[in-house]
Amino acid sequence: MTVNALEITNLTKKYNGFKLDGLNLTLPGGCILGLIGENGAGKSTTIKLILDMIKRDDGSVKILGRDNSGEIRLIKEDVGTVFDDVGIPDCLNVRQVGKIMRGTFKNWSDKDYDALLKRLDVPLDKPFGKLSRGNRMKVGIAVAMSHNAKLLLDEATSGLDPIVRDEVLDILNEFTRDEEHSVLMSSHIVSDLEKICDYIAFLHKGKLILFEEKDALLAEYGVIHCTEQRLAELD
Amino acid sequence: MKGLLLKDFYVTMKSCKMFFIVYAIFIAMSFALSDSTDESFLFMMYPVLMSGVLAMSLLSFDEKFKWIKYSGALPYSPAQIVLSKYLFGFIYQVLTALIVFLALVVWANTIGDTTLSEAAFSLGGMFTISLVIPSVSLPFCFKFGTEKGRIFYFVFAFGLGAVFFKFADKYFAYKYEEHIKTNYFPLIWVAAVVVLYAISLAISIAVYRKREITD
Repeated sequence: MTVNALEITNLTKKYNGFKLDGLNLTLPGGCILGLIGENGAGKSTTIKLILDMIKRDDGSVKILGRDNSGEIRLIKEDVGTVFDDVGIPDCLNVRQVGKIMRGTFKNWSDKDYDALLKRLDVPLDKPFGKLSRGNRMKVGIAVAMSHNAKLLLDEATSGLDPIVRDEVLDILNEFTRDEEHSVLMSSHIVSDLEKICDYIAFLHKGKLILFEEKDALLAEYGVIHCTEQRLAELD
Repeated sequence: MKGLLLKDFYVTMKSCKMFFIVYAIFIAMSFALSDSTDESFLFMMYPVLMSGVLAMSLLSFDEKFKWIKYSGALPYSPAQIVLSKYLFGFIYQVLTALIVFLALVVWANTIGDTTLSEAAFSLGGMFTISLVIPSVSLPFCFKFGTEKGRIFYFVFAFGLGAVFFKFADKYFAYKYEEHIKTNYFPLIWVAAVVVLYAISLAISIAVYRKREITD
């Protein structure tokens, strides 16, 4: 039986002027969940809560069947994360990043890292700060996918140009061919989510407006452009 | 934790080159000015003191490059993240003190206005003072970020400097060999610094555990 990659129950976090309000989400193994919403909707807050980087006010998060409040350090061995600003110091080159990660992850694979960098055409000897934004994110993606992670948290792909994004989407698709691999992808590019996601979750001002299988969403939902009066007249 | 130490090593080698240049200048000055003062070796003490700032500088780089946020997604506990900064900073301070000691050996054998043991005693004193810098600044940096931590450090360093030099006048008025034989102050001072360093580490771990990593 495949374990759910993520089980989020009643997750709540309050800030001044913002509240992530009782979020419930489940990401089955082998699936891609697209988390969509405007800036400030709560997507980044959700990812930080999943990683226990910020303290939740209520609710629970299970990653690969394990509660994230207990053994989060061990759980992170199985999670690959790509933030939109990556977070690698500018002075390091890509090879040095690989050596640092070899000393970080138990299951680090130099072979996978090199293969991904080659496939994504990233220059190996340039300092990280001299790489284009797209190449920096590719490095982040290569790191996230080179330690046998079972769950990917990705908020970077939406920042890539369309050509590179397509390459990355292909890689994510290949990644989830294994039933143990899942992806939570935070994005505001609907076409990307439509292309690869199995589930779509729509956050708005900290509230989950919609959580649906993509196919059901395409089959059963639509957009109507009309006045409120015309809407009321419809059956 | 190996990865964190390696990251700090690479960042130090690439981004802290100015430190090494300043070290070389001060060591050179102590040789160059040996004719004009008997205690020109004291210029060499500055690099030792300065080495105490490295951990804070590395933390500041971590904030600038958003490494703090990134490390929150890596399989490290808050204790490991904090400990790596203390450990790397300590190793760096020891290496700096060793380099300065070697320079002192050369200085004492070539210029020789002050004996090596006298100079080494000053070096030991300065090394322990340099350990006070991260002990005081790092808990604040881990709690509030390096900008506020730095302000606290400068206020502290100024205050410590003022107190030390006022006190040092009286303390060094004795002949130091005599002083070591008759006074336990150096031992008490070293013990106090070790305890302060350990307490600082424990406080930093506790505050970092509670800190919410946003950016």
